[in-house]
Amino acid sequence: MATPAAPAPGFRRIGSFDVVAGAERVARFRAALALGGAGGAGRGEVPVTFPICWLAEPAVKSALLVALGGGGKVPVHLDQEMEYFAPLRIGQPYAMDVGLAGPDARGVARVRADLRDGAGARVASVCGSFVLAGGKEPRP
Amino acid sequence: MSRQELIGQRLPGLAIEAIGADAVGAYLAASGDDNPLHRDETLARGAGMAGLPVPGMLVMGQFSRALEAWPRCGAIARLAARFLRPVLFGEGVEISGRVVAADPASRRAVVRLTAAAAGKTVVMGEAEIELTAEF
Repeated sequence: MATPAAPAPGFRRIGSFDVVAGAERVARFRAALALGGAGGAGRGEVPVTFPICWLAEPAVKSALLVALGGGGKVPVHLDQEMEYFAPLRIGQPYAMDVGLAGPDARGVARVRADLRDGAGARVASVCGSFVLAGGKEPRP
Repeated sequence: MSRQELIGQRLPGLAIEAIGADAVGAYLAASGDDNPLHRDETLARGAGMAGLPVPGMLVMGQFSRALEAWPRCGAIARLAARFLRPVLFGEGVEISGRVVAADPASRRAVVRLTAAAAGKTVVMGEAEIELTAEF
């Protein structure tokens, strides 16, 4: 896989992770969203929100939790964006560069993942905000 | 179809009946999401919610479902969502979408998306899509 890219401005690097959209997992994900079968002509075969699965991988999640220092709090999703420069393909390996910004004074953190193919070309960018909630501090 | 006719066009509505524990469980298993917020009601209430919340990404996924059901939608180049309030277990969601911009040169359109539960907007979204036919 290509050398990890520099983190986007404002983000600190969490790590680079090798990911693949396996056919079976994609099928289960499609079924869980009631998306039916293949995306159809001209559509991506991997659902647009599928990269969220890669951010839930144990290695990625534990690296993020260590960096967040949540102290027993749980992340509450505030927003999410998925941008594609090329469709994701089933079975093709990608490098996912993960960065983190925050948490800020309100407890809001941003997680960003940039996906590159084997040639280093940017395929997708995924960015979401979370607030750490629970414990003694109420949700903003 | 002209650009003028395309702008303002509505996507076919999508109504999801009560999202129950089975549907949430299937999504959590498929996505790998093990956030206890979706399983521990005490924790959810401690985080300021009125009950167990459905994962926001499950609702966002319904935006892509609504887009895929629209024959004019080709590839989804960008999909964004803002989670305004949690959808709770057992609540139904209605997805609607409307074209707000279209560019003949790039054959792309911007679709504004809304998810509503109990008559209130719970998730707002926006998609940039490639259209399946020239206009």
